[in-house]
Amino acid sequence: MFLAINEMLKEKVRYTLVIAVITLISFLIFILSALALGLSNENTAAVNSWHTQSVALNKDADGNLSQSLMTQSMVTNLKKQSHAETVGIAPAIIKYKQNHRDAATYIGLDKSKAIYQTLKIVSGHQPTNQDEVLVSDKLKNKGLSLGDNITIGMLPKKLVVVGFVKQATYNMAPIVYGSLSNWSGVKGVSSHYAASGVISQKNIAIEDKENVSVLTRQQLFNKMPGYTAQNSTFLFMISFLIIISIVVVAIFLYILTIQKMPNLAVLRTQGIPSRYLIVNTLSETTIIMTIAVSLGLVLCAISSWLLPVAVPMYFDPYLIISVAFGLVITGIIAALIPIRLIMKIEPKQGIGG
Amino acid sequence: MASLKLVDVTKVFGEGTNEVVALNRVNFESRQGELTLILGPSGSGKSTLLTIIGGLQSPTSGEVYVNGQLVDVKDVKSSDFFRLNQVGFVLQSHSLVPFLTVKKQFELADRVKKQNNLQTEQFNHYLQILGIDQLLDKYPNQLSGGQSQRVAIARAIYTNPDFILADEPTAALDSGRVKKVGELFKQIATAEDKAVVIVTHDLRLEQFADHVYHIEDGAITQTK
Ligand SMILES: Nc1ncnc2c1ncn2[C@@H]1O[C@H](COP(=O)(O)OP(=O)(O)OP(=O)(O)O)[C@@H](O)[C@H]1O
Ligand SMILES: [Mg+2]
Repeated sequence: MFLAINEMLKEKVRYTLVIAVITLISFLIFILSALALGLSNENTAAVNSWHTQSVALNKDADGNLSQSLMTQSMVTNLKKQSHAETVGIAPAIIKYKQNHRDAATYIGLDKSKAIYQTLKIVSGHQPTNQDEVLVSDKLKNKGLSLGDNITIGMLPKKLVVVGFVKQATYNMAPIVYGSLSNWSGVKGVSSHYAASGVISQKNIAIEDKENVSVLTRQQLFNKMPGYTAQNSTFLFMISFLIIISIVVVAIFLYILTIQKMPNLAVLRTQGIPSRYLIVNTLSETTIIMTIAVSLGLVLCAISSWLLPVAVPMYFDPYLIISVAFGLVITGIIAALIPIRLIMKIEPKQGIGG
Repeated sequence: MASLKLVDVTKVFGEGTNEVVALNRVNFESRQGELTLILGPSGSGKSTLLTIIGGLQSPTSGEVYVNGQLVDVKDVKSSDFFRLNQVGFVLQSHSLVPFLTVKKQFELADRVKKQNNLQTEQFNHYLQILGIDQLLDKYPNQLSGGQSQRVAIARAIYTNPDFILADEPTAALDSGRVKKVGELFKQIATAEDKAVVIVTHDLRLEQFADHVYHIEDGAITQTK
């Protein structure tokens, strides 16, 4: 620690530069993680908030719930399981005020069942008839207000907004929660279809394996259009940035150590144990990484403050802290190369000629 | 009573046609309170001898005794301990840590060897004798060659070792300086009661030595 601190104070410019580089990299990693989580939340938030465990849908929909159509007869059997409930999902354009148009997802629910109880109304009240709806507070930010009449999808009649709910997006689009009876109208399909699928907070058992398939929550997400591609893109970028930061720190420490080799050899000659020099290198990288990662966190906090609400970033403290911790570990991995150099020094190298 | 003794020490590098006999049946002794000089031309085996005396490498054959005890260099821990606690090295180059001020060079020694270093009073006395008491806040790159050499000497005695081993301590010093450094080493030997060994090709140091050895092609002869 003593050597590390003194060296950093003496060589301010080079340490400032490397800290600046790591700060920027860690800032980018934080922002990307927040963005990845934010975007993935836009897909998953609603389904998660329902405490969904399994989903039954038409086998032909290939796991895409909003494309699935279930007939009355397919549903009847499943509904014998009291925990299973029918849900109608329809991607649709919502029109309100004079000429506001937004992409939304209509979700028709059975008001007497469990999912409905999970909805968190932030303003307004619960619907009292089937033509009243709850809407994601995202649309509130876009100018929709309580009491507005909306037209949605193919539904010929108008619906009334009576409340706003939190955390409501499905496959990136804000949700309009309404009655299941209006769902086929919104979707523009024959009313002989009962729902898109059957959702449960438990496991669903199926008999009609010919036409119906059951997915877990994660399988449902993975089948959402773009979900897997998006997540793996982010994962790829983040892992690459972590590798870059390992390489940057490793190169930096390597060059510094190579430069100091004759001096380190003399210290070994004088009987200073390698352990002391190794601990010193480790504290040096820990100091560099801690300062850089903290600055990255500060930048991240500032930008989360400045960025428009429309950028779907989600700063999960748990994720951010584990990423920060991971970066410090990364620095320690990078220190393995200079540590190897130090271990290979022979004390007699300090005596020249 | 601190003493160093080499008995029939031979050091061979390489094999076959590349074989170099750096030291050939060397017998050597250094005692507390005495300044011992090892003189020899380039390539004669001086540095090799110093590394063996200092416990930095083991001889191909022969024995090394420190205070009458046989030394085993391969025991890294005890070898480190020996050098840290009982030997003060004055080396030709890179003796000082470039990013530490003169004062902090000694602080580093305090951190790795926590006990039995020189007391402040005694230490300040030495800094004055060496003429470096005004240089404590300077970095090594702000010192002249002679000044760094004197700081290195101060660093070597700071840990209060029994043995001072110096490799070419007068390289690149003018005659006036050589005399001062010679007198200083003599003083360290007698006044501080240390065993001082200097390897050098500088004949000007001969007058300060209690014992003089000559080394040539690895063979050593005592002339004083
Ligand atoms: N590690 C080594 N491997 C092979 N040969 C070596 C090694 N170290 C020293 N030698 C050889 O041993 C001989 C003595 O070398 P040494 O360094 O002890 O000489 P020196 O007296 O210190 O010379 P100088 O005054 O130039 O410093 C030389 O011939 C040198 O080439
Ligand atoms: Mg030499």
